Amino acid sequence: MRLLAIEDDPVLADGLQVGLSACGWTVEVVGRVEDALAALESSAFDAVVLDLGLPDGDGLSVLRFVRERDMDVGVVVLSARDDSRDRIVGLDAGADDYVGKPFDLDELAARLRAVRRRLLGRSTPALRHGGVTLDPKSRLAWREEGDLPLSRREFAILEALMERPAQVLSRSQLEERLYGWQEEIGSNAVEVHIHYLRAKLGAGFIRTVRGVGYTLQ
Amino acid sequence: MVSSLVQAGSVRPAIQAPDTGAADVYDRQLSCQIWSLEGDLIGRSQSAPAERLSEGGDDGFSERTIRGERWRVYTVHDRDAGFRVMVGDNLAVREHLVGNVVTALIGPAVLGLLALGVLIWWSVGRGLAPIRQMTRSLAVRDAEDLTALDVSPDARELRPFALALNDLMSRLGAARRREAEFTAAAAHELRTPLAGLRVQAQIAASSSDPAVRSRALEQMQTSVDRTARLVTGLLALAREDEMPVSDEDRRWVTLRALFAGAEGDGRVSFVDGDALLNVDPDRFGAAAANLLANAQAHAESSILISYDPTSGRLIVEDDGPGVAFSDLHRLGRRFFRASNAPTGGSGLGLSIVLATVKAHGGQVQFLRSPGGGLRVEVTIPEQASESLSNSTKRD
Repeated sequence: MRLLAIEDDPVLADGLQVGLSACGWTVEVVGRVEDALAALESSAFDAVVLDLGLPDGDGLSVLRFVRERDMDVGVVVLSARDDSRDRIVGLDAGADDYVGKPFDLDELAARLRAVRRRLLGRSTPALRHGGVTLDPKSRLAWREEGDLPLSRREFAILEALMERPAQVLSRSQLEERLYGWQEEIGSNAVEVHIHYLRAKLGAGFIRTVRGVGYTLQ
Repeated sequence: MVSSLVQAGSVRPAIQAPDTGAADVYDRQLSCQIWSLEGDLIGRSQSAPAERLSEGGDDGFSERTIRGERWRVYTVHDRDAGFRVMVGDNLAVREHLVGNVVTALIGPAVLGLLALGVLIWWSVGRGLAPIRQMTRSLAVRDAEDLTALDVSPDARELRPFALALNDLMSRLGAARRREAEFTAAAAHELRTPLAGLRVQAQIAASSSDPAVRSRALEQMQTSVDRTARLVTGLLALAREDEMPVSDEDRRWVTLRALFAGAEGDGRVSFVDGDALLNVDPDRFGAAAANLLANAQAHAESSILISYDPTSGRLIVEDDGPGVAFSDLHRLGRRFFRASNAPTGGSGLGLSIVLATVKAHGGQVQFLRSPGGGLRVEVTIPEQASESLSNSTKRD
């Protein structure tokens, strides 16, 4: 899952970056409305963690931006303003969830997973396809025969593909999911991970659609 | 009187006073006898007894009881004319008269007074009813209730008082609302660093990587420091709001001493750094430190600090990016951060400056310097009392 955290407090922003990355997600952090809009326009995110009190504007304007453009992204508002009136305003503006500060990092992660599930029209936490089960929380995978040991990035690619089994994901879409802005990406990194996944799951599990990308069999 | 009549010869001996017929009781009150010096009764008024009114016959007042009636007598004699005149006042009649007068007066007076008392009691009670009603409604009022009092339109005398009271309550309510808003804002401001602390603590507790742990702990330290700064700022603000600076608190301090924190910063230059300002050195020093920190956070290469004693104006000017015009009027508002402000500030620095200057009786203006940076002009009256007397003179 690729996440955009919009938070201007440097310590909290760092905590979100480190803490949510530890959940196996790729996390980008920006501190201003302007930067947030630029990030959302230039690349796709699965979820946004949004602080409302930003130095150059109200976080709700980011939320409206996302909803006006029908972006397929879950938004969890993170705010110090958390009496019920504020929550109502936030939720009615299109937020998927609302978390008051201070908050439990694990709870925020769970809420993000739940928002993601709802967005994909799924209610069971685990992902299943072709006898393979993924648990997004523990980031463990297994088959009927037993455990399926996967690296962090292999898990992320498989999770992306299994979230929408019918959809074809391009190499660059997978790259975005795997790597943050600051990370160097090898030119054939995705192919390498796909190669290892096929070795573990069988050659037919992931299908290559020529000139488009990858999908599940 | 009688003597003069007799002397003038207008009273003849044995003249009887005419009978008026009416109220003969009272006619008998004053009686007069004229005796010759030899002791013969020459004449008497009708009501006078036959006996001598005064036994001795010495001049002056005397008293005598004749046939059960007490007489008070004045005697005078005229040797040349050969008369002795006695005028007697029948005390029984006088007392009777007095008694009559008293009964005739006291009865109505007592009744009148009673009626008057009742009238006064009723009208005062009626007049005071609105006060009593107001007292009752104030007495049972909740301490939180600052709504306006109802004043009945009849109680015209009470109206100005009630209106003043209502005005006071509305001001009190506004002050309390401001305080509540401030407390709420402060609590919100504290939540973000607390959230940062909590998240970092959770990372430190759950990570097995020592590098991640120590970094999280460092971040926690940053957050604690920032929270502490915020709390210090809140306390300073509360103090500045609370207490005006008195003349006793003020000392003459040089401009340079107030901005002691500028030492070692090559960007700072003073115009007339030895100029003297009459301020509370601690409190104004803290405000100056905030002003300076703000300028230092934004200045490129120069910060100019000057003081003009004639206008009493202190100016701090930097050559930083300045503040957008749309933000200028919001500077100094609590927790307001200009959109280009560096993160991590408390949003209280300039609010403290504003509150401190106000406590000194002065004012602050935020402007754009010709170079585009921020220019803060602080005007401080030399004496708190002077500024007060000036303002009363203007009134």
